[in-house]
Amino acid sequence: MEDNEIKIGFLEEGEQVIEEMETLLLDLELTADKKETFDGIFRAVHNVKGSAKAVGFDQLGAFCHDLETYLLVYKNGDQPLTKEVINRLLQSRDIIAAAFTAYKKDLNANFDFNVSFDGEESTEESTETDISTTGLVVSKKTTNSNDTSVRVNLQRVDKLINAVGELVVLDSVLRQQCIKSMDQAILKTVEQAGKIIREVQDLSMSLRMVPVKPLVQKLQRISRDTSSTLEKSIDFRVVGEDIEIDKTILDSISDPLVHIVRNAIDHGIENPEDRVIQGKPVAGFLELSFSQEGGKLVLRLKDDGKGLDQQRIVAKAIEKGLITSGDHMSEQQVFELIFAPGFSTKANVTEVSGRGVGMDVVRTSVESLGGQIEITSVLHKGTEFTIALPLTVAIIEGMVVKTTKDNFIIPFTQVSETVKISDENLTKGSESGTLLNLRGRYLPVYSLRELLGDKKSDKKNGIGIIAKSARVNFVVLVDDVVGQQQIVVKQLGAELSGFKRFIGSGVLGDGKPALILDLAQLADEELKRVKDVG
Amino acid sequence: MKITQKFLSFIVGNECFAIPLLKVREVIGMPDVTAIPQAPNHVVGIINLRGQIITIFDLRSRLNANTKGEQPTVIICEMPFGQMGIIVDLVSSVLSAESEQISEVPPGSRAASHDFITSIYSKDDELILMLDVERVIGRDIKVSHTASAA
Repeated sequence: MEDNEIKIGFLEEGEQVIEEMETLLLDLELTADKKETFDGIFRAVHNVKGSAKAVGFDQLGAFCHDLETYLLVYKNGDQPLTKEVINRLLQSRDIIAAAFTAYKKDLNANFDFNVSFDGEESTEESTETDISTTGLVVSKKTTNSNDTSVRVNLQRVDKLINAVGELVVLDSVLRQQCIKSMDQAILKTVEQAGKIIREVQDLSMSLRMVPVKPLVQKLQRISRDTSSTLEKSIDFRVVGEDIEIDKTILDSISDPLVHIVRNAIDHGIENPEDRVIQGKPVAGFLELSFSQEGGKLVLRLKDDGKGLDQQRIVAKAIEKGLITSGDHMSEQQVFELIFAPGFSTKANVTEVSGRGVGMDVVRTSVESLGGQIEITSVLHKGTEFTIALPLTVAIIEGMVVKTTKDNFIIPFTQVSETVKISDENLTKGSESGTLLNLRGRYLPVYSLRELLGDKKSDKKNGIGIIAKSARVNFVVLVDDVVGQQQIVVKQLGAELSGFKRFIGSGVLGDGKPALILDLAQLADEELKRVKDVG
Repeated sequence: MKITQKFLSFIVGNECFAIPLLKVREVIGMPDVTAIPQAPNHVVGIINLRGQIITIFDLRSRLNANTKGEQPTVIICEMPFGQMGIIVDLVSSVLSAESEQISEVPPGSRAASHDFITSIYSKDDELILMLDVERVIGRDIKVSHTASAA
């Protein structure tokens, strides 16, 4: 039992070491001061080796020992560190990482370290060096261990955020009640308490924020691996990597980003020969930037590759049966096609990208976080993807709307605008349904009451909410917009998880819970229902 | 050795039921409920219990007791999937039951046809039906899943 705990502890700590190892290996290629970087790698391997043996991962220990022996050959700088050597080392690091993953699943896993090193057999001499470095390792380790952070379970953080969210609601209730009492002392204290509550709220929200650095590292590695597989040369730059983003968002955006980085290198950047012919630098330029703009997290991926070819996209879409003709399609509409399920511009499936999961998955992931993805592209000049995401998923800015009796919350990210609607500006037909003419564009109108199953409603006056969704543009008619408020999003219980049209719930200013709507889902369900009936 | 178990007994309609006390988190008065459109009948809505959103389930309509007690009470239960509230007509008492006081549901009785009634407790003239809350509610959770899929 205790043995296992030690092993688990080792795996948790070791994770950081192997991450560090990757950064160092990547640095090794770029940095002039190879000696120091290399020593860092050596230390990391040595640490893993020592600890692995100590806690009983003998195979891992033996593997690290071999790796260490291999490293020793290059340690004194006699032999040049070629790209092949670094590739090799990166592969070894991956094997260690894979072993960690395997051990995490099953502490007694029998991991196959099926790699041998061509380096010299370990001699008596090298064993000596090995011992002499041990002291060095230990001393370095102690100087580096002034890390003042604490690892906290995300669930605990969420509990704290929930409690603080409740405190904020109670504070606003208290404030309202205080206005009635004229006691200056009480008013003043409530005012002060409110200030601190808001401070605590900001602080607790910031606990969910994590640096994007590990993700950037992963992407750098992927860019490197992808470009070397494809024999392309890439100048990958990252701007704003010091930013911190919400943990949930980071986790969900990681795979989509990997996908578009791979895509950019595979489909976007031309072969070196073609680039030279076009007068571009041999190395393809790829820039990923993180920034915070107007309450949103904005990610941009820009390349100077061949850009999106509208004609090819249209031809491909017709071939795949996504559209019948490309006439009358705007540039933006054509670009949107690459997000359609089952679309891939490259003719043959390559090792790097084009394995079925496509840009549609990227878009779905982004939208499920309440974000948007946009493309701008100029043929032969390059492509730019812009992904705008909310800063956090735990708190949303919501519009509180009223229907028959209960209030509902619509996230601002789903709303593009609101318009006042009366009978006169609607066109009704038995086949066309109810349509709203919005600046020359006809949009279908659904009454929120009807969407929520209140069949008898014939009210056609109210506020129209123009929904912002990639799939369909539509208007949702509500009785009134009550207000707007920051909502701490709370998941509904498992017993209600079948209701996909509700993202969750939030507590309103009066302390009553309200359901948060997913307009796109509601419209989808309605369309399906209409289809089934018709 | 006598094994004593504690139960919370309550009234729904004209019958007395009990659930293991360990499953009970707390008992509250009828709170302000937000309805969930198109949910099954027994699912009354959601409430805000000190910042936690909890689904409320009406045991009265589930057990076909069409009573509307004067002071309905909500029992917050610990379920494997989280907390949930059940509405009952009246909470009566905490019951210490010895194992010999608990017996099987008489076969052939109406109670035996409900799989959510696990056993019966009897003492003197009193008869209490032991309820498996998870089973009562579990069935409706499936209902809500299929309802949304349809």
